[in-house]
Amino acid sequence: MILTAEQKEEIREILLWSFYLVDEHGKPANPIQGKEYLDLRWDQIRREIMNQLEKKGYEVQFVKPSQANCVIRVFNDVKTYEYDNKYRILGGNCFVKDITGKWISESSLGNPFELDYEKHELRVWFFQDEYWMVKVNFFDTYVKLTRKK
Amino acid sequence: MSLSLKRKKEIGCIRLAWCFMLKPNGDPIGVFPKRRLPTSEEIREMVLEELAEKGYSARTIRPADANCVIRVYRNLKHTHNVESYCLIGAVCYTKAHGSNKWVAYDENENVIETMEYENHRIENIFEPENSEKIETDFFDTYVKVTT
Repeated sequence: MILTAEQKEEIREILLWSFYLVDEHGKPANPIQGKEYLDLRWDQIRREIMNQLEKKGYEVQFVKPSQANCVIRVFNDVKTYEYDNKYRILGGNCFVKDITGKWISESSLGNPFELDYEKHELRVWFFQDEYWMVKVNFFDTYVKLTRKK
Repeated sequence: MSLSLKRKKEIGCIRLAWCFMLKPNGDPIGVFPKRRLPTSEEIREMVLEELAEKGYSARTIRPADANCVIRVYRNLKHTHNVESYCLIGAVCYTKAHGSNKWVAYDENENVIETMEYENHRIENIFEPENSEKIETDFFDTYVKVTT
């Protein structure tokens, strides 16, 4: 199935994102009551993304890369920032092809970005004038999306 | 780099596999390094270490340029008879000579598995006369292996 421009836009906007300070075991260091901390395994992150796709009316099927019309990229890592503070960075994005054949997704701020096969680099904002460029572990899944009948 | 048949077989027989019986509370019986089950990226890291030990380096790449696929699989709870098991591992696939299929080899250099894109099933022998095909969750990483 070829996705329409409208469907591509809808799919590109699907994402999951969580970022929090962790202790030495990778668990939230300062849990705040009422705040949701996503602590998911790799397969659970992908399942969350697939659930979002299914809610929008798509069937998701794992296929060979040349037949895919979407790439689900999930990331999950613990990284150290200043003063030995460790943060969990976890989430997922959906990439669809643009008119030039590049895989494109959207950040949580709505900025489009291209799939980099070799790495996944994120810009994490602490303040308006302070951000952190960080590389995180990732897995890609090539899928074929079709509209549910 | 195009891999020779010898190298394809050497890489294609790299595999990791563990099967743990689970306690009623879901914890695995047996001790793994770090005293917990490895995550998918840790299993992939172990495969990359095995490749490095054999003198190869690998980098993640677009699928069309890959000469190897590292598949990491996990089934965290499979019930056989009355016991529950956790099965985790990894397989390295290389392109079959003269074909477009991704295959894995055994230690005798025979093709034992063709990669399926839609699912992953492993054969586990719980008792000598009783093997079972088990479906698992999986993640693929397309890599370019070079010496």
